[in-house]
Amino acid sequence: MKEVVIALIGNPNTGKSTIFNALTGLRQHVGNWPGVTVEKKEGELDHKGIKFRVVDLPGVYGLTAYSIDEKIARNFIVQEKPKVVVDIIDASNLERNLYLALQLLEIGANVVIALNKIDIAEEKGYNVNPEELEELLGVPVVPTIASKGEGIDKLKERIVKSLDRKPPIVEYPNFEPYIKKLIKVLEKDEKLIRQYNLRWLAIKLLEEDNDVRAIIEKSKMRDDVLKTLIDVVNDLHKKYGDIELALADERYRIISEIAKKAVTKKEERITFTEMLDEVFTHKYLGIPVFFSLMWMAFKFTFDVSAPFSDIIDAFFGWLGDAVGSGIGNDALASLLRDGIIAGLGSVLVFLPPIAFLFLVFSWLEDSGYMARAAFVMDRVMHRFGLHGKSVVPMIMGFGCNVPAIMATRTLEDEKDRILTILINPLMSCSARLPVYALFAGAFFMGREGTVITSMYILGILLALILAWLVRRFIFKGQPSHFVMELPPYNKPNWRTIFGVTWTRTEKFLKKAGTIIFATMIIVWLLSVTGPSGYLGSNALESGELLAKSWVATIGRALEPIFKPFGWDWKAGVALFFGFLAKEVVVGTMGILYGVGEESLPYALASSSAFTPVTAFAFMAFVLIYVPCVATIGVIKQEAGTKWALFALLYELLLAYLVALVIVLIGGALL
Amino acid sequence: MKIKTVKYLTLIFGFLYLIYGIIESLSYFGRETTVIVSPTGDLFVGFVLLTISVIYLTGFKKALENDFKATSYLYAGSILSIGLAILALLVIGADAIEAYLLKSEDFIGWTPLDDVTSYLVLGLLSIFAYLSVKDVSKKPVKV
Ligand SMILES: Nc1nc2c(ncn2[C@@H]2O[C@H](COP(=O)(O)OP(=O)(O)OP(=O)(O)O)[C@@H](O)[C@H]2O)c(=O)[nH]1
Ligand SMILES: [Mg+2]
Repeated sequence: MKEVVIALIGNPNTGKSTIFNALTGLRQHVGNWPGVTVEKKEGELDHKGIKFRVVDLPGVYGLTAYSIDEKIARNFIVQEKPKVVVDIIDASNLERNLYLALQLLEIGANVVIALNKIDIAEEKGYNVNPEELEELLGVPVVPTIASKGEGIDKLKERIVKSLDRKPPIVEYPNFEPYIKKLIKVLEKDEKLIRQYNLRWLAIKLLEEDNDVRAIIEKSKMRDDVLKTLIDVVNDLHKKYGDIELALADERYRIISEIAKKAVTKKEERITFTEMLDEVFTHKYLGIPVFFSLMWMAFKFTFDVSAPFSDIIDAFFGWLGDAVGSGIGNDALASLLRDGIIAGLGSVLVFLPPIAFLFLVFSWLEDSGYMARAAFVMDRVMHRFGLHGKSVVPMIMGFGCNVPAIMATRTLEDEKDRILTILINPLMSCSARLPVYALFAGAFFMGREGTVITSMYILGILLALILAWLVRRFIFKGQPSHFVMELPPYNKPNWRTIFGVTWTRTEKFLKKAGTIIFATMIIVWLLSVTGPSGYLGSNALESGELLAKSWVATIGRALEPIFKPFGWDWKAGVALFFGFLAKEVVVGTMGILYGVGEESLPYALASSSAFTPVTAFAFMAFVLIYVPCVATIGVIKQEAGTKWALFALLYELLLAYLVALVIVLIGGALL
Repeated sequence: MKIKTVKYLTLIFGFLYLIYGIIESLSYFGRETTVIVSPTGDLFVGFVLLTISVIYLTGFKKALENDFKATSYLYAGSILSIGLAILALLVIGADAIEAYLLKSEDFIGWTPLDDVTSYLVLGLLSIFAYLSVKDVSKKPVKV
């Protein structure tokens, strides 16, 4: 059985991923702000004995191929030629959404429209008539409320029925003769006929589209086409001035006629969204509200998750004892107790705060507040040479830098995008939380909240300063202008929120089960063996024995580097392995101090390896020094090797510098 | 609803949050004053309470000017206040698990009253403010 490819497309935040999830039963990230999906995602659907491959494309306003997400979307439709293109339209914002629909029809795509968010249109006082719209556009229109699953079955049905439909042609009266003239020349190249919709090529040639121009360059009719084009453009130019603008005008004229017939507006109402935005995006109040909500988010993360951490803590404590006393073989017992249970346990106690952090952030996203945060912070960002859209990746960075860096694809300007990527690792991701929590608990009892918050603020400040410097000396010029549309506030969609939370938490668990687990075994192995062979499990309890191990050898090699900060070699080893994943720093300490996670803070506090000042410097160092391997990988993928190396180097340097400053100032003050 | 109601509610809540915002901020700097509930000593609590106070008072100013937008401030202020109270309740729940289920050492002798904070009490009171604006989208204010 052959698979039938269908694509989902639409403006940002219209509910494409929600519909994709409903169709395929997958759990794609759904967030209430524009630009959540930046790559295409695929899934499968079986309906009426037909197997579909469903592709969720990034949200785009048009198909001009100016930014990466528009390019991805357009290339997919032009090259892969999906059997059906489902255009998801936000009914509460019909006119702007129809612009994309027209462009899809231009390409010759077999469009089915999902008229989504009719509940919001209703709330705003609009009444959109689907039958009328269907009539006017000539394509099937299915009303849906995707977040409640309404209309999805109907949509499936219409997709199946439309498989062999011939899409209608949109005519632009002012341009028809010219388009026809171009098509006449284009159709002399059979290769073009086979691959493209000639009407679309003609329109795009009029708009001076670079990609289409490149296609023509390769055609055997190149010279003729370009000659005709020059004639046509000259004519049109005399009549209408800028052709691209004139075409856009023509599209808008058609759209407004359609909208006039299909939409009726009831009375004017003040919506809850308008009321909340009056305050949350207020010129002065917006920023304190933002900080208040961030504080509430962190308070929730730490205070409410605490009992769950204690339960995990107790469990691993019990497990370690049970395993230690139940197994006779020294090496095996030590591997399980001192390596795996102590190491992994010290990381897993942070599962609850991390999951809670994801939960509250998913909720803020879903509610629509995050988009406001970006809006409010835009002015601050601009001052430091950043783009308002940079805020979304920055906030996502508090969860994990990897998806956050991918999210920079919504930035059109290449300089803005690379700058946003470069500063992202300074956003303190959830993997660093265990380190802060451990050290704050050990050295700053009673002031943990303030100390941990200061790490987050330090990261943000450094990111802003760095952005300012890069803008000043490397990417000269102004950040490009910010246009972000604010989505309406949502009542919590618990299915989405828990779905997103779980997908992210699952990633942390997977990381714990693979890379962290493996590193813990390596650290244990290198601790109980040395140049002289197996040292015995006592190595982890006796300092003298441990000094003969391989880790001590590594540690001593690194010691001179960290001498100025007054950290011992164990800290050096922890940082060394922390390069793989930052949670490993805590796990490694758990092994090296030869204690389970419950007593690790006490062991650290009483070890005299750190003072509060050097502990604070250590936390700052962990915040800044090299992002984890995965982050470097994604920087390389998104910005190239050169920038990945740059990020690596600047971060090492900056971490060193900041830690040094903290130690020096701290030493002078105390 | 009437603009007069908005005027009274924003004024009353604006003042309550102002007073407790000041008390909380002072307590961070070492001046503990107990009015009904004792302060938390957390600087951020003071900051958040003052922010809410300014929201309400801005609403009061707009109400004086007979601006229908005043309701927005009453609405947003009450939502934030209630959110804060819900957070406080969640923290009580978490601490109760520590004290009664896990019997953690740090929570010996803990009672729910220990966690009753200014922002919990004020947030619960704000439910009145919320109830007065919750239907405003259907029944606009008369000015
Ligand atoms: N009220 C309402 N909300 C909806 C509906 N459909 C989706 N949403 C919400 O709209 C928001 C955006 O949904 P997504 O599915 O992430 O949108 P998207 O089009 O994939 O967005 P991008 O990937 O950013 O382009 C989410 O908060 C959804 O819960 C609907 O029919 N009614
Ligand atoms: Mg999406």
